[in-house]
Amino acid sequence: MAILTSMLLVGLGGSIGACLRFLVSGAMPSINGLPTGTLTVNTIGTFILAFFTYSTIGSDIIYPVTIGTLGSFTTFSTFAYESFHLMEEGSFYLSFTNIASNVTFCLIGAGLGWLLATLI
Amino acid sequence: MKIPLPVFYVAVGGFLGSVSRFLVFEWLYNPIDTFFVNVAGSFLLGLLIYYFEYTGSSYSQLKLFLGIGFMGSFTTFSTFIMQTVTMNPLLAMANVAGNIGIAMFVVYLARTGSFLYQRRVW
Repeated sequence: MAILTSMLLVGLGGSIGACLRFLVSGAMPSINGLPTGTLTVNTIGTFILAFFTYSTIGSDIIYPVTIGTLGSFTTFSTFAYESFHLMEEGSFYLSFTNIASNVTFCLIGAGLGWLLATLI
Repeated sequence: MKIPLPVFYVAVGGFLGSVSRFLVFEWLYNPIDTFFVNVAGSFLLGLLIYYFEYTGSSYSQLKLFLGIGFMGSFTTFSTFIMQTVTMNPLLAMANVAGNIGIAMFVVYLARTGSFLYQRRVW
């Protein structure tokens, strides 16, 4: 029964994360042809996940918040599609910029999350 | 309270997608599980987008439910990065290149498959 409880918590957290991603991602403009919506949710989500990972906050929030909400808030499929689509349209430069910025910003986000957790 | 309909589709898809990811994580080992969900989800999203693009039919509700909701929640970027930062530099680079390269390649496969299916060239 424990796994069913976990599944329910993950699902509830996940549906909230998906809605937040839909709203935040949709509110972001495309800057010079670069899709910034996915970049924004991925960076924010990685930052928060890193903070929770390195902070001393108890593990009772792990299912709904980290696995559910943050796992759903950040996404890989749309990122992969957008990167491919830019390449398909012949913008290898934009495609590479999209990949590099997602990886770089999220690594910086993870670093900042760790920093915040050690300071608090 | 009246929920706006697009958000409802995304929420239900998000619920199912995150539970599916959680179950994959229960079965496979890190970071293979992340690689699996990211590649599988990217392929299915590519299939969804290109199939409808080539057939020219409208799929706004399906896109909200399956694309943004389910696949968006099934695949994840935050866990992928958090696993990457705990690896040694060489493995981390291989993890980044492998996840992104193969995910983009399967989107290409999904596009090719959708195109061939629509043309029925076999």
